[in-house]
This record gives sequence, C-alpha cells and structure tokens, in this order.
Amino acid sequence: MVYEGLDLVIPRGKVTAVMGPSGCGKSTLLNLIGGRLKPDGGEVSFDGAVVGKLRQGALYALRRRMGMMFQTSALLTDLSVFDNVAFPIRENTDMPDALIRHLVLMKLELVGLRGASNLMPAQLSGGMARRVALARAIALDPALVMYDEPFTGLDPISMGVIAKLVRELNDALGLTSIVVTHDVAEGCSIAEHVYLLGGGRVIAQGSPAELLASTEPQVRQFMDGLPDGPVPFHYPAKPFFEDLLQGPPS
Amino acid sequence: MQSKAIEMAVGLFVLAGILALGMLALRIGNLNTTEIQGGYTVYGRFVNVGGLNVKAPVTMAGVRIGRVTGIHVDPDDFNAVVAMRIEKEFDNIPRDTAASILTAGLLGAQYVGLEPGGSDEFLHDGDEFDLTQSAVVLEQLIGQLIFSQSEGGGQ
Amino acid sequence: MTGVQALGAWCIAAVAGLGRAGLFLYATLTSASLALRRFGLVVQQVYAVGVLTLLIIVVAGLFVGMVLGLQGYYTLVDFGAESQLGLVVALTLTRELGPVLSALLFAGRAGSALTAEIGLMKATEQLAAMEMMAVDPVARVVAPRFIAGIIALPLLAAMFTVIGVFGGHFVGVVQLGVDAGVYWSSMQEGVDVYDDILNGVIKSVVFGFAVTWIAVFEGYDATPTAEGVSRATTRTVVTASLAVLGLDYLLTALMFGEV
Repeated sequence: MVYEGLDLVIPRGKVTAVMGPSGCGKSTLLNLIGGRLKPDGGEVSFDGAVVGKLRQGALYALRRRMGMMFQTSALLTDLSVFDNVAFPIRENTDMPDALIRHLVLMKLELVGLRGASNLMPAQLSGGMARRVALARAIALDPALVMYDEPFTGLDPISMGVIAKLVRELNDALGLTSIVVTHDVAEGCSIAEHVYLLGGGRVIAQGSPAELLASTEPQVRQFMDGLPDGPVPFHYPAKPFFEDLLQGPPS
Repeated sequence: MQSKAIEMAVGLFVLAGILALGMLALRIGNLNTTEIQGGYTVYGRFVNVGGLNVKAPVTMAGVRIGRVTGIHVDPDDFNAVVAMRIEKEFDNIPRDTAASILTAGLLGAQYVGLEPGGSDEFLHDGDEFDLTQSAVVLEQLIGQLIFSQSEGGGQ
Repeated sequence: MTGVQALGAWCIAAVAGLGRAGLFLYATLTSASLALRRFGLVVQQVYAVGVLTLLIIVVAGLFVGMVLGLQGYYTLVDFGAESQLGLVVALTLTRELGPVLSALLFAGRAGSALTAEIGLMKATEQLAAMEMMAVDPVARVVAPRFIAGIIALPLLAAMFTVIGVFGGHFVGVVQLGVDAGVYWSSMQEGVDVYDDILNGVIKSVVFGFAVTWIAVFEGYDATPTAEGVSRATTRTVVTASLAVLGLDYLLTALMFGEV
C-alpha cells in the first residue's frame, strides 16, 4: 500500500510539480499514469480513458500521446543520440527516412544538441543525456510529458538548462507537463501548480507562492528542509534509556 | 557501414555453419554412399550372420564393391537372407562366387567378403549365392577350442 | 521449523519462477513473428551470439577432437582396431560432444552475455523507457535474441563437430599413422545421416531453445540492480548448463534407446 486515498487533477497545458520526500510514491504515480502499474483500487484517467483498464493495443496507442523522461535518462546504450531520438518515430510510424531526419534534427535543435547527434550515450555528460532523453520524450509530439526527478544529480548549470527547457517546451509546444521532484527551488520556479505528497496523501496543493507562504508544519518542514518536525528525525524506537538498561540479548 | 559489416560477418557465419552441416552429411555421414546408383541386388543365405548390419560393406579382394541393404529371416528354413546391392560396374562376378561374413580385425565391424569362382556365367539381379560361409561366432569358436583341447588331453 | 519454512518458501518461489518463465516464453513466441518480419534485428543478434562465440567453439572443437583422437587410438590399438578410430571420433562428436559441449560453451559465452545485457537494460530503465515509447520490449529486445540463439547454436555445434573430426584426423592420421582412407571410410560406413547426424542436430536445436530461453528470461526477470544482474548471470550459466545435461540424457534415451 503506497497511497491512502490520493486525489490529483493535472490541469491541461500547464506545468504541474509533484513534490514530496523520497519514498512517498512520486515515481509510482508516473507509472500509474503510464499504465506500467495497475492500481489496486481507484482509477487513473487520461483524456477520458481509464488507463488501468485498457488492453495492450489501446494502452500502446495511448502511450504514443505520452512522453516520459526517466531519472537515469534511460537512453538505449547501443544507439547513437540521433538514433535514440529517432527510435520512437521509427518504431511507431512508417515515415520515410528523410522526414524522420528532419523531425529528429528539429527536436535536437530544440534541446541544443543537434551538434551531438553522432555521439553515443556513453560519451554524454549527465546533463546532455537528460536533454537527449527530453528530445526523445517529445519526439512523437505527445500531449503529456512526464519528468521523473529531472534535476537529480545535475550541476547547477545543467539544472538551470533543464528547468528552462521544461518550461519553454511546455509553452512552445502546448504540452501538459508533470514534474516529479524533491527539489523545492527548481520545482517552484517552473510549476504553475504544486502538489505536496506525504504519507500516501496530498498534504497540500496550490501555486508555488501559496505553498511557500503556508504555515502548516508539514509543509514548512519540507519547503524549508528542516531535519525534525512532523516527519521525525528518529526512526521509531523504545526510549533510549530503557534500551541501555536492558543489556545485550541473551 | 557498420551494419553492413555485421551483415557480412553473419552471412559468412551462416555459410560456414551450412558448409559444416553439409560436410557432416556428405563427408562424415554416408548420405552420398548409402544409395548406390544403378547396380543390382543379389542375395546370400547364411545360417548365422553374427553382428552383420545393414549398410555394412560388401568387398571383393578387400575393395568395397557394394553394401548390405537388408537382412531378414526366411520363415521356411530359418536361415538369414542378406540382400546386397552391388555397384553396376561389377557386372561380371562369376556365378559360383562364395560369400562369407568376415570381421575387420579382432573386434571390428563385420562385412561380407566375396571370393570369386571360375564360372563363365555371371550373377544377375535377384540371383542367390550358392556358396556361403556364416559369421564366426566367438563363443562357438572358444567352445570348439575347449572341446578339442579336452579330447586331445584324453588321448 | 524455520528449516521447513525455508524449504516451503523456496518451493513456492521456484514454482512461481517457473510460471513466470512459461508466461514469458508465451509472450516471446507470440511476438516472434513480429521479430521475423524485421529480420535485420535478428541478424544483429546472430552476430552477437553466434559470430562472437565462434572463436571459443573452434578452439574447443579442435582440442576435443585431438583428445578424442589420442584417447581413441590408445584404447583401440590394444584390440588391433585402430582402423575404427574415425568412427569412434565421429560418433562421439556427432551424437554427444558436438551438441553438448557447444551448448555448454554457448551458455557460458553467449547466454551470460544475453542475461547481462537484458538485465542491464532493465536496471537502467531502458526497457521501461521502451514501454513508455509504445514499443514492446519483448518483441523488440527479447524475441530477436531468442530466435538468433536458436539459429546460431545448431550452426556452432555443426562447426564444432567438423573441426573436432579434423582434430582427430590430425592426431590419428598425421601424428599416429592411421591410414587417411581408413579414417574417413570407417567414419562414412558407421555414421548414419539420420540416426546420428540428424539426431545430433535436433539435440542442438533443443539446447539452443533451452539455453536462450533461460538466458533471456533470467535477464528480463533480474532484480534491476548491479547485484541482481550479476546474480542472474551466474544463475543463467548454472541453470542452462544443468538443463543441457539433463535434456541430453532425456533426448539420448529417446533417440538412441531403441537401437
């Protein structure tokens, strides 16, 4: 059981950030939306279709309208940057090579990596790999793009580049974006709407400004990064003194 | 470019594999020699064929001139009838040739050896050898040896 | 009590694993036609599992044939039957050592590589990414590798056997002085195309099926961590080797039992 009654609405055409501490089920949420997991109860609906109840063919048709950028970038290691971006187009359409080339170069230009199209994934830095993954996620011109921890493990420059790209691509291509992150500053800087998850529930939601101004202790602890608070510093245990008196187990 | 090289390598690999299979069938196995093209079949009647198998060679003066193609028991006299396919260039085997079942080496495979006679008539398709010598069965040989030894000891 | 519990848990896990492997095989076979239509993918994998395994097969086949020539000669010469050396070498290779040893080498070289590759693709979310790009990883990644394994192993086994026969020829004829004509003719008289060679090829097809199935399944089923992938790779080699030897006994009993 990851969730105890979770209710989210992702508004069309906007960037929505889903934030929360590690292990609160943020990535699970994306897997539910993408149909890689089926919910034990409740339902996920995408543009009117209930994701968990689709047959494989319909689910795959639905996924052509979704893009996802993974935390590890998940580039196919045996294909070049160009072929990685071309992969979803080649596998899902019968477009001629010349047209595919135009599309791929266009997507790579958007993320600023047209010059790197012949490199292999092993030759890319972490930030470049994320950008290629982003170009691949938008290759089929999806309606929804999901970002799983897009800022984790990046240097400040790359982080800024990714944040700018998420924001600009959303507006330029008319996407709907879901950004799952635990990075408060970056999440708040690009999102129009923020959901804060904790303990399997939505703790708070609203615009970034509203959340930053909130006085609720759970929200404050997360936003300010306080070590102790409603989420306790100590793992549950019996009192320290009692444990000391007991002696070693016989 | 790179995928072309891979295709070439795979092509060569499959070619080598098929060559190996062909080699197995033709050079190592006996696909090309089991079927004697043309030729004719003669029969030999033996009291005992020992360990003779179908496809065993039929030789004349130590050279293979044919193969055993069938062995069965005649239900009337309980002798073994061995069918032998002889290659067509050996169409002048004398009518009174003798056929014996011999063994290659002490424990080797058994084969049919032909001992040519002097007749002017030749064997034709469907003929039977008049003179045959059965396989030597080692147990019987040893039995005879012990028997003759003990007789010799008694004198 | 805990011992009994552990045994029970192990049994349940084993049966569940077998069930997953069966379902996985079903999914692979149903998407095999899709992979066959894009034969370029299969060709690439034949390169990976076949061509790259060739060297070890050639070297091993040569040495095994030479050892057979040597051992066979010293055993047969005591009975004055060294003329049958070619037959002994060829029958041993076509019936048993060709299919079995090449399957064991194949499991070690190609099987482990398949498991590691698919396991790593899983660990680095490449398979998940494919799913999200509306590409079925079983059809795109697994099925071509599976077909390639079934194609490659019989060819490798045939090459192993032929090279082994030449290895025996080198030792028996060139070094120990058995007559070359006798070496080859004893072979041709004793080795039957259907009973021996075809059965050997059938064996290697079955082994190719089993080894590749185990390898791709272990990769696909691996725990997606570095440790999980390394354990899955070890399991592939162990399970596939045992499966080859077990299947070999079964097939031998079925094929040669009546002769």
